[in-house]
Amino acid sequence: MNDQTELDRALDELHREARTADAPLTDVRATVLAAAATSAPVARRRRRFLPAVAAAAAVAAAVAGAVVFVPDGPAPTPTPGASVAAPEPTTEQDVTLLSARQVLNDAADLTITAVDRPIAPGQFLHISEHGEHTRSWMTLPAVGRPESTTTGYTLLAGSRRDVWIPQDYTQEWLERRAVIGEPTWLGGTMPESEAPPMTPSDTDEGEWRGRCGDFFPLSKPVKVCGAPDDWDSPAFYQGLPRDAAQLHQWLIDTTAHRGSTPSGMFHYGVQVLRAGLMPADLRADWYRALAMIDGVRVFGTVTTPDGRSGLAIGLDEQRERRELILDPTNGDFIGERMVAGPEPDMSWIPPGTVTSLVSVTTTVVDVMG
Amino acid sequence: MTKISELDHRGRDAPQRAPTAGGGSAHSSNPDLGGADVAEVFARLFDTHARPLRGYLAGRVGEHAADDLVAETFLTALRRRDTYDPTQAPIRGWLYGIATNLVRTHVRQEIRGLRATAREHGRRADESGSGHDANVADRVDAQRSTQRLASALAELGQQERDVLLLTSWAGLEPAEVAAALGIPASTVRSRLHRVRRRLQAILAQSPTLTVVENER
Repeated sequence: MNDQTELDRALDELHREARTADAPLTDVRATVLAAAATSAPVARRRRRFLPAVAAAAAVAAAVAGAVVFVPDGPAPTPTPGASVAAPEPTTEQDVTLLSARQVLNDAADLTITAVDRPIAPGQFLHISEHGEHTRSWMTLPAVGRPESTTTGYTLLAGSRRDVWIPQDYTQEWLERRAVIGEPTWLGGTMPESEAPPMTPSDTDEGEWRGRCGDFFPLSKPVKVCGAPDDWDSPAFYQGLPRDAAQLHQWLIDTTAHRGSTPSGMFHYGVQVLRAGLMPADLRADWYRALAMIDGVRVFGTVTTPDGRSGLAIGLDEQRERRELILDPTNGDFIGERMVAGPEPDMSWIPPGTVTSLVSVTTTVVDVMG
Repeated sequence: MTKISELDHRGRDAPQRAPTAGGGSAHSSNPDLGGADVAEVFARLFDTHARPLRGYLAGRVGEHAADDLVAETFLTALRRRDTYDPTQAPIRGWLYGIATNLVRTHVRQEIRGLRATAREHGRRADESGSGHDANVADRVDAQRSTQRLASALAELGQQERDVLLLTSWAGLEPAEVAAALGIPASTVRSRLHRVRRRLQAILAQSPTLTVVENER
């Protein structure tokens, strides 16, 4: 008997009865769908709005690079950060020649001495995102009619998201979302005047409150306060190693279910930064870990919606690349940008189009809301 | 033409949301799990993948645990759906990656099951004797092959077993296995080639050379 056939036959026979059993999955299906039916808003919590370019909202409090929760009691005395001279201005053409690894490592050097601004009892951490993101309407070819084509259009819409977190993060949080301004036309398969109307969804605008950031307590699975895998929780950051190589490996492991691709690792790294809760003592190693990802490079200088200037770092992507924006003068993460790649998701969006630009600021304030 | 819901393309949201009923099946291998129609998307996901996924899991950890792991796979997928990027990989590799991670929490159970299978098929082969009847001889050969394979699978490294069984039992392509396990597709191919060659050699051995290790 042919060895190949022998092995395949043996594999086919092994545990065949168990593998082909026609056991009912009705109960399992009901369990899954019951959880899915009540979980919709949670998905939006992380797939959050890319914040609004036009609304450069004034932030009253001083911007802190990173903030961490401290226990009740006297506020610790912050250690002064190193004074850093701003580098010589560079041109757009110059910065794209910079090594992204060097930029990230320089940012790590700058942020290594940073300390978190303490939050006193009664104060709040305020994370503000604003900018623009795309909204698309489209149709897909109908089943059995391959000759039909995809049609649609895309708008660039402004939005704002603000979250206030109390010093004791297990207490009530506040989140507000708002649509900013009128969307602008990015492109479509039909003239703008013929485009069907598109209205904001019920999670685009509104206000939510919830202890421990659990704004949707009926959702399943239940949000566990302080869960080690929830980057909205200080426990998530406390559990991470303070070592760049270990963090790099951690990114590989964490994104293993998506293939640990460089873009997947980078995407995850930016997503965590964007949550706005990363403590100062982790940030430098986080940057160095991102610098270890294959393919990172500088794509230019970017002015964020709130007027700050930074270097955009990302990886080449066929469809759309995600870039983090770093302030090279102090190593702060100040926002992110998305740019259509050579083969954009929507065929009507020209390659190179900025599909989102967002500012992220983290401040300590005395009042919620 | 089938209209689908408006697409909310925030950040890494999917370029093309998973089609709603009746449309866009061409994109169903890369659905957007983050849309407002999450229940509908997961219903479709479950109906498409749950049955073969259960078969794969039942083969690895037994029927008793399989249903729980199917549920846990989909609940984990639901909980982590914001981490699935439809632009990066088809959903099948991602789902089986979750399932295979769950299998790893049952690795002792899996190995115990494989060794029990090896013992059982060895016993049946012994009981069938070594008569000259061709049918009996074929049956004994089959029992010995299953015995040797089960024994060998129990001794494989976890990732070798994952690569082999994701390919053979789940029917995943190397790229999907790569997505599931977080390793390059080229590594999947080389590991698959290596483990198959090793297993083929074991199956080709004389039955008397087969050793079924005792349960640890």
